[in-house]
Parts: sequence; structure tokens; C-alpha cells
Amino acid sequence: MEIVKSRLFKSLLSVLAVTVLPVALASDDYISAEEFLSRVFAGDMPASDTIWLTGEKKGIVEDILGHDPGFLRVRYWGNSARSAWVLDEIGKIEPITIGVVVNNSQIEEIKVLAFRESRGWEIKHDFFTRQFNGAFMQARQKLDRSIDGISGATLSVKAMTNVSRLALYLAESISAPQLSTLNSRAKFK
Amino acid sequence: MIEGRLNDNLNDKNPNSEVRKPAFRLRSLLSLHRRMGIISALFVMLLSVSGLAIHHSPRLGLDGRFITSSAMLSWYGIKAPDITLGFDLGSHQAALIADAIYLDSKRLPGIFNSLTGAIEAEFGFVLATSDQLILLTEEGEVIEVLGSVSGVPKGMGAIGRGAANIYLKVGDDNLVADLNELSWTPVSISLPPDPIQWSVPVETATDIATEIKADYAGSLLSWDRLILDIHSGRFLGGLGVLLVDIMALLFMFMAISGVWIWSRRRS
Repeated sequence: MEIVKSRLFKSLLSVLAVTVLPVALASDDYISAEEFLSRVFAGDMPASDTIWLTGEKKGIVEDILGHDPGFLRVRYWGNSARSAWVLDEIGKIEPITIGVVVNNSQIEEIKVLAFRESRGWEIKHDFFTRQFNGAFMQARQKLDRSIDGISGATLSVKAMTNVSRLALYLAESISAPQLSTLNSRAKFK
Repeated sequence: MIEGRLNDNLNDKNPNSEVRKPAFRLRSLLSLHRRMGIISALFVMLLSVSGLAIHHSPRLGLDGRFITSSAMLSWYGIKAPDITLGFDLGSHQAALIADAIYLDSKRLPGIFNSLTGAIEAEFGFVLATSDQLILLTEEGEVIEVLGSVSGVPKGMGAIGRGAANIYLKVGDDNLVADLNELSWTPVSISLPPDPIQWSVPVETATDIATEIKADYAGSLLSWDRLILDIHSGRFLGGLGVLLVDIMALLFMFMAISGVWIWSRRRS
């Protein structure tokens, strides 16, 4: 009788694992960019600043993303020691909004803030994003580690990897002097 | 080889009808197998080539390439929607079509659900959606898209210019926008009077509208989609799916009959 009960209990657990777990994993737990920044800076959000993508910098960003970034200026919060970035990158068709925190040239945290594609949303989970924690940039804007992919989410994984590389590269650029007013752009040409 | 040996067996005069009957069935099956093989060869090639293309679609960039052929778009019943509204920017025009914003006939990167106004600025242009400000250079390059994370107020109904300031209309309030400091200050009586010229919708020029619609329609059907539809048969609608189903049954028949013929020959 005990054996039967034990088997029944195990079977029920298996059914729950198969039916409930995927639903729980697929739940919508995205946060807004404001919430992300507020959490990163513990409610004391610093003023933002920008980096212009011109000249060599634009070329390097194109190499990282594999395409024209589609914008000339990137906004960040923080300073050269610790900075937060909210970046959009196309997964397959739609843009994925990703928040990245760079701390002393290493990724402190990376999080999907908005996912608009029908496939590849698995990249939002901690089991995937924690691979990036502590990652830093090596020569030619490559990560120091390889990121394990997710079956069926190849393009989303690629997008997140590229965004992490972009954030690390841009964080390195913060120390360079920036003139961030719109009308001063001509000085960067 | 198989056929030769079978024919040899079949030509043997055997008075025993119990032996002749299976031989007759084998010959019929072989003939059917051969005919079906010729028919299925074309489909095997089609499915193999399209399957390989789908398998390597990201590497081939098929999802990022779009079909512009009007005949193909017509086959799919794809028709570009009308331009929702447009705004005049002196020598340029901004327009919203479905979820895309164009400056003249150039599509801006990103997805936008509204366009509430467009004005000229010292650095280029500012386009407003209900919750974003799109900053453009004079050449139409996107400088930055400012959203709620930059403090841009939600529910913008219009954007306008005064002598020195950019104004946003949010509900019944008018706000002075400082795009460098990212501040949005309500207009108060303490500010010097500055007549605001609000951006108002205008009809998009016909030639630009035609180019925009053609460009937008050309972004709706990717090669990835087309090849996937050819592979599944959906390119021909319900009939195509039925055809692929029949082919799948045919392939199963070929596999089973092939093994059976092979086993009969060995025995």
C-alpha cells in the first residue's frame, strides 16, 4: 500500500512538473526601464548622460551588432565605475529591450525589460542571464566566455550577447570626455 | 539490378499458381513503386532544398530580406495600408503608416504606434509620438529616441515651437521641453509670452505617399516566410497543405514498398 502511495505521489509530482512549471516559467515578469534603474541605483537614480557614436566608435559598434545601430547617441546612467544601460536590439524582427549594469568593466547584471517576439523569450530567465554575470571584454570586443545557447532562441541569445558586448564597450568609453548637448554634435564630426 | 532479377524470376514458367500469384503482386508493386518514385523525386528535391534553406535561414539572412515583387505580394493578398497621417517639416515630410514612421520615403528604425507632431529644431527635427520624442539630424538620421525612462511625459497630444522653446501638449497642459536637460516644465504666467505654433497634420504628398506605401508593403513578406510556406505547402493555400500531406503518405508508401520489395528479392 505504501509503495502504491509513493508511486502515486511521484506520478502527481511529475504531472505537476510537466503542466505547471512551463506556465510558471512563461509568466510575464518583465519590469519597466524606470523600475530597473530605480532598483539598480537603490532608488537614488543619477542624472543620465550620453555617448555619441561617431567616427571609429560607430564602426566598432557596427562590428559588435553586425549592423548599423540606427541611432547616433546612447544614454546611460551612472559613471565610468558603475553604469546602467537600456538598449534595444532586434531579435528576429522585433526589438528586445535589455537593461545592463556594468561595474568596473564587468557585467554586474543583465535583464530583459521587454520582449516582443513570439519565440526566444527564454532568454529572460535567470538560469540564462546569470551566465553573463562577471563577464568582461577581451580583445576585439569579444566576451571572456562563451554563452550557452537555448534551443529555439538562437537569435535572441545572439541579440543579448551583442548587447552585453555593446554595453561593456560603451562603458569603457565613458571615461573619454563627452559633450552631450544636442547642438554641440558638430564638434564630434 | 533489382528489376532485372525480378524479371528473371517472373519469366520463369511456373505452373504452380500459388507461386505465380505473389510474383504477379511483386511485379505490380515494383511498377507502382517506380512510378511513385519518379513523382516523389521532384517533391523530395523541393522539400530538401527548402528544408536546408529554413535550417540555415539565420545564416543566409532570409528573415531580414523581404520580397518586393508586387505579383508575389498580390498572391499573398498583402496590400499596404493607407498613411495614417503626416506632418510638414519645411523641405521634408514625416508620416505614420501602420507601425512605422517615415521621414520622406526613408523609414526610421523602430516600431511606433503613433505620431502626434513634427517640428524643425536647431539640430534637425523632433518627431513626437504619444510617449516618445524622436530626435533626428537634418539628414534624417536618428540621434536618439527619448522615452519615459528619460522623463518624457506620456499622453503627448501635440508638439509645437515658440520663438525659443519646444512645447509639448499633454492633456490640457502645455510643457516647455528642454531636450538637453530633459526637463518638462509647465508653462506658467511667469514665463514671457511665447506664441506657440503647434504642428498640425497635413496630407502627405502623393509621390512620397506612393513610395512609402511601396516600401512598407515590401517589408511585410520575408524570404524566410515564403520558403517556409513552400516547404509546408501553404504557399498554395489549403490545396498545397493537402498536396504535401499526400506526398508524405507517398513517401511512407515508397519506404514501406521499397523495403518489402527488397525483402522479397532476398527471399
